Amino acid sequence: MGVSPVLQSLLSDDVESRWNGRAVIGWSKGTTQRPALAKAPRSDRPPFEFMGKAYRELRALAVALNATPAHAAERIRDGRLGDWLRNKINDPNRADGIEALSSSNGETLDDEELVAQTVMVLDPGGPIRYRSLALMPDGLGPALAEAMAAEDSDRVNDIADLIRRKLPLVYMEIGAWRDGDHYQDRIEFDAVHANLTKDGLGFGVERALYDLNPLLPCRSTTIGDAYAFDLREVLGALDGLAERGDLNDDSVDRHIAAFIANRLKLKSSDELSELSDASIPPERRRYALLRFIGEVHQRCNRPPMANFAKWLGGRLELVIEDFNYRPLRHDLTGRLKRLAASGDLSRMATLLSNPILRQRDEAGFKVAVKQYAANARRIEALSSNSAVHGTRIADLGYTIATVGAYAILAATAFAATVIFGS
Amino acid sequence: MSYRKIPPTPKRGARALAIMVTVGLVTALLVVFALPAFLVSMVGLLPTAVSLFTDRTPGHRATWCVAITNIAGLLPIIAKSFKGDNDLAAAIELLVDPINWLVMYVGAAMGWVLLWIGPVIAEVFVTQKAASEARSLQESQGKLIAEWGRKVLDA
Repeated sequence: MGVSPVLQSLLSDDVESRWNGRAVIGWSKGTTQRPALAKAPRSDRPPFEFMGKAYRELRALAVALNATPAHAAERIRDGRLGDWLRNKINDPNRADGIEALSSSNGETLDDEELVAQTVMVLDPGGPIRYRSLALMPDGLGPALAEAMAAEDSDRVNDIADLIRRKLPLVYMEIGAWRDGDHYQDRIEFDAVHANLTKDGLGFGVERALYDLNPLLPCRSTTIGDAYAFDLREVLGALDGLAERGDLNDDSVDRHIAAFIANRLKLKSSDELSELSDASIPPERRRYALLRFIGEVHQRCNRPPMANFAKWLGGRLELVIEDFNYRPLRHDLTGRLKRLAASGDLSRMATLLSNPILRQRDEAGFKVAVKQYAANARRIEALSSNSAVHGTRIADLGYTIATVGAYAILAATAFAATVIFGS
Repeated sequence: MSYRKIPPTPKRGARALAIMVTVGLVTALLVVFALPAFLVSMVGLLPTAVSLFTDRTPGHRATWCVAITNIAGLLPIIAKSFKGDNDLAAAIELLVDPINWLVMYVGAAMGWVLLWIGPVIAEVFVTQKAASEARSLQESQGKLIAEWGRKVLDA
C-alpha cells in the first residue's frame, strides 16, 4: 500500500472509516488495513446557487454560507435553501430543521446565529462554524487560550460570543455530538456559559479561559513568569510581588481572580463584587481583598505570606475604624500586626470580620450613646432647674430645722432629767 | 361584676367631737393633777399657737419646729413645777419669774432660728451635691468620648 491511501484514510471525513493509531501501527508492521473509502463528488445532484457559485456538497455549501452570513441568512429565511433540500436533494429532515430555525418559536435569531445553526444542520459532522471560527466544542478552550495569548481581541470576542449564544449546546443537540453521551459536557458548558455571562472580577471571558482549560497556569501579567499552576503557587507569586515592592491595590487582576474563582469553583462572591466596584473606597476594597485571599489562604493550609500580609495589614485603618470602641481598636491593631508578621492572612480576615465582635461593639456603642444623652440631660437639669432646686432646698431646710429642734428637745429633756430628777 | 364595698366615711362632726372630748379629758386631768404645769404650758405655748395661726407652709412644718423647741424650753419649767406644790400659788410663783419666761420663749425663738439656718445649710448642701454630681457626670462624658469617640455626641 502506498502513502496515498494512508493519507486518505487519515484525512477521511467519515469518522467511522477514518484510521486511528492502531490502524497506523498495523500498517507500519505490514498488517493489511482497509483504507477509508473516498467519497465521490455528487455530480448528479442539482446544485444550490449561492454568490455566483454552484454547490452540490453540503459541507462546501456550509463553509460558503458561513463566509457571508448576511446573504446566507436571506437565502435561509426566504426558504430557497429549504426548498432545495426538500425538493432537489430529497432531504426533508434537514429542510424541516432549517425551516424550524428560521421561525424559531417566535424568537428571532440574528443572521450570524441563524447561519451558524443552519450550517450545523447542513454539516453535522463538521465543527461549529461562527464568524471566523471553525472549531469543535472541546477545541474552545485551546482556541480561547491561543487567542488571549496572541492578544487577538477580535477572536477572543468571537469565541465569547459563541459561548454566550450557547452554540456548543446547540451543536450537542444537532451536530456531531448529538448521538453521543455528552451529559457531563452539557453540565460543564452550562457552568462555563453562566460564568462567562457574569460581569466583574472572577467571571467573564477570563473565567471561561480557566473553566475550559483546567490545566492552564495563571496567565496574569502581574505575576508574569511565576507559572502558577495552583492556588498555592498563586499565593506565593503574590507574596513575591509584595517582597519586591511591586504589590498594589490592582495587583489581583482579572486573570488572578478568575483563576482563583475557577479553582474554588465560585458561582458568586461578595468579596469579588466589592473588589470590582470602583465606587467603593480603596481601603474597603483592601478589606475585600483580605477576605478573598484569606479564604484561599485557609484552603491552602495557611502557607506563610508575611510580605503580602504586612503590606495589607498596614493598610486597613479604615476597617479598624469601623469599630467604635477605642480600646478594642487598639487591641485589634496590635493583634493584626502580630498576625501580619506571622503571615497568617486567614486569621487576619477572621479577626476583622468576626461578627460577634462587631455585634458587641455596636451594642456597646448604642449603650454609650444612651448613657451620654442621659448624662447630658442630667447636667442640663442640674445647672438650670432652679424651681426644683428651690423646692428641694426648702424641704431639706425644714428637715434640718426639725432635726435640730428634736436634738434641742432631747438635750433639754436629758438635762431636765438630770437636774430635776434627783 | 362585683364591686369592693367601700367603708362609709365617718361624719366630720363625730370626729371633731372625739377630739374635743379627748382634749377636754386631758385638760381636766392636768388641772386636777398638775395645775401649775397646765397653767405654765398654756402660757408657755403661746408662741406655738401664734405660729400655728401665721404658718402658711405645707403641713405646718414651721409650726412643728417652733413647737418642738417651745416644748424644749418649757420642759425645765414643767419639771420645776412638779418639784413644788400642786396649787395655784405655785403656778403664779412660776409665772412671775422672768427667767422662766425667758427660758420658755427663748426655746420658741430657737425654733425660728433653726428655721432660718436650716435652708441656708440645705442650700449649701444641695448646691455642693449638684456641683459634685455635675463634675462627676462631666468626667463620665469625657470618658465616654475617649472610649467611643465624638460619634456618641452626634448619634
